Amino acid sequence: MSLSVSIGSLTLKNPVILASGTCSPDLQKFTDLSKLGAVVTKSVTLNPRTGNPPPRTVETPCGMLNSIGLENPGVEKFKKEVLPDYIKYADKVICSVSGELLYEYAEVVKRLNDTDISAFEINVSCPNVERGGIEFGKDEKMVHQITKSIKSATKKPIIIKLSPNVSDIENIAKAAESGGADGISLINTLYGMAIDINTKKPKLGNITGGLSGPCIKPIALYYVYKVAKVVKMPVIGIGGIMNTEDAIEFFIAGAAAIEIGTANFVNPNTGIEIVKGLAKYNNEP
Amino acid sequence: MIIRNKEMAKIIKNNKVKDGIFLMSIEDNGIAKSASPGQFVHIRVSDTYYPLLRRPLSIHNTEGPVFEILYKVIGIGTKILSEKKEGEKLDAIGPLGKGFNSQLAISNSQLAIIIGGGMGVAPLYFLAKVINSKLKTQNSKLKILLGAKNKDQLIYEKFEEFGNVSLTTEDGSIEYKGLVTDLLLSTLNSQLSTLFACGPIGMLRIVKAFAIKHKIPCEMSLEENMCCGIGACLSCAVKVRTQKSEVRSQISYKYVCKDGPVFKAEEIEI
Ligand SMILES: Cc1cc2nc3c(=O)[nH]c(=O)nc-3n(C[C@H](O)[C@H](O)[C@H](O)COP(=O)(O)O)c2cc1C
Repeated sequence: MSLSVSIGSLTLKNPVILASGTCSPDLQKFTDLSKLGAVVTKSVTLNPRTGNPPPRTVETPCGMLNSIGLENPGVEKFKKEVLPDYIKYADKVICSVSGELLYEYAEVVKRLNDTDISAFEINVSCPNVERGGIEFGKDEKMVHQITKSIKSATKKPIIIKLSPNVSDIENIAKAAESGGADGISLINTLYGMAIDINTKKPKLGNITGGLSGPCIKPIALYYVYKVAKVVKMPVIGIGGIMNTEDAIEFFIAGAAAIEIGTANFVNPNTGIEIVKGLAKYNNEP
Repeated sequence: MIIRNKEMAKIIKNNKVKDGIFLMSIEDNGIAKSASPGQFVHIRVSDTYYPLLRRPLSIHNTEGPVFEILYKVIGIGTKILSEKKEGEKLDAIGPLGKGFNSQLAISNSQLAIIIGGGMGVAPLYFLAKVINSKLKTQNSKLKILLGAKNKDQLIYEKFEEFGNVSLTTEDGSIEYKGLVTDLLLSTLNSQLSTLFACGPIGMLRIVKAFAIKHKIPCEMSLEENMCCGIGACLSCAVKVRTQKSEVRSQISYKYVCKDGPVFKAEEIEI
């Protein structure tokens, strides 16, 4: 049985994708990115972003907090210096796009239309930036408007990536669908914090961060289940997926594909192991 | 392409060498043979989800197919590591990062100074060994300055075969009482010196200021919270100076895991 899956006009050879911010072409030394369905790039913005002050990550029980702050070289440098390596190693590259102002999303997408990127994932869910990011993803009208503006800027499929830190995720997902999204991915990280009791200071340089890893899996699964019931477009499940069994849970909850984040730091070959595990699971009677 | 083989690393020894400090010998031909001083291995201490992330540990020494790590039990990760037994397998990725440029010690230098504070000695033994082997054919010398809180925390014995060793402890329990950086000025007897440093951030700040003041080439190994260890997650950021004024922001970052852990003192803001 084939593992292939379609999101709009994009067909992936298997449903295993590496999540934004957790993989880079550097991973090719430790795994084979070409065997995965797709790889999502670190989020790209119109202008360069320096990112947040360190410490940028801290381990928490069964998970971690990060506050990288969307550090990236900006779209032009990304296009010239970073993207070619993603394209070289991955079978399909999905480019994650973020912005501080509304028009920046469509502008970034336009500047990348002439590349070999297969689709865009729109990050309206980053908890670690002052402006933009999650602020756009909290509001249905805004999500609808952003989706529409990007849709009219590109022919490539677009996936809207949602945050769990919202009050009505189902309506936000529907707003993305009616705006023309080809797929929806969820979840981005959850707001979180850790404090050093000796110094009485936050453990992250940015004070707060986003929680990821196995501890968020039940929450992610719940949101995927909720959203998959109300939209017709494919749902990509993200959150705490560490192995094949976790991935299968997401498919049963309604996901068409999955993304792997934090697990890449623990075992950079996790994606390939899940592709193999899914093939085996599918072939069992 | 290197596909890592987690079955390869085997624990040969894991002994307590000082108060709370352990030395582990691990057999892994691939890592041991390609490692250079200052590089690290990224170790998964447990298959469970707590602790979840790998632990970066400096390569302390290599002997044939075996490499060593020297570590102090601080948190849950190092505690689990300290309980591992001879014969157990270890999931280790490495060698990672950019190490010391030991060549600096002989090119245009008459004196190489290695300075280590606390567990900063971990990568410096391997460095001292390599520099010592290079210096044998040269006229320059190696001086090693090591410091710790007290003598039970000071790892120095094995360094004596590689050069002239001076010791400091904060409580005066061995040799000089004070900080290891107190020895820098009296050790420096030539402008043609090179400095190699590893230790707590406070110590590194003093070493950096000293190197810049006396115009001595200086390399130092840094630490920062790390996740992937291979340059993917942008976690272990260190501030660097940006030369160009046209850049929108004056600050930029390099990464301990990929650009370091060893940096030139003048390039980093610490
Ligand atoms: C260090 C780190 C950096 C991340 N950077 C981004 C990013 O740039 N853009 C984005 O959309 N998501 C980013 N994420 C979120 C992940 O893509 C993913 O949604 C989240 O970590 C949950 O999945 P996981 O539990 O498998 O890690 C980042 C996550 C981590 C841990």
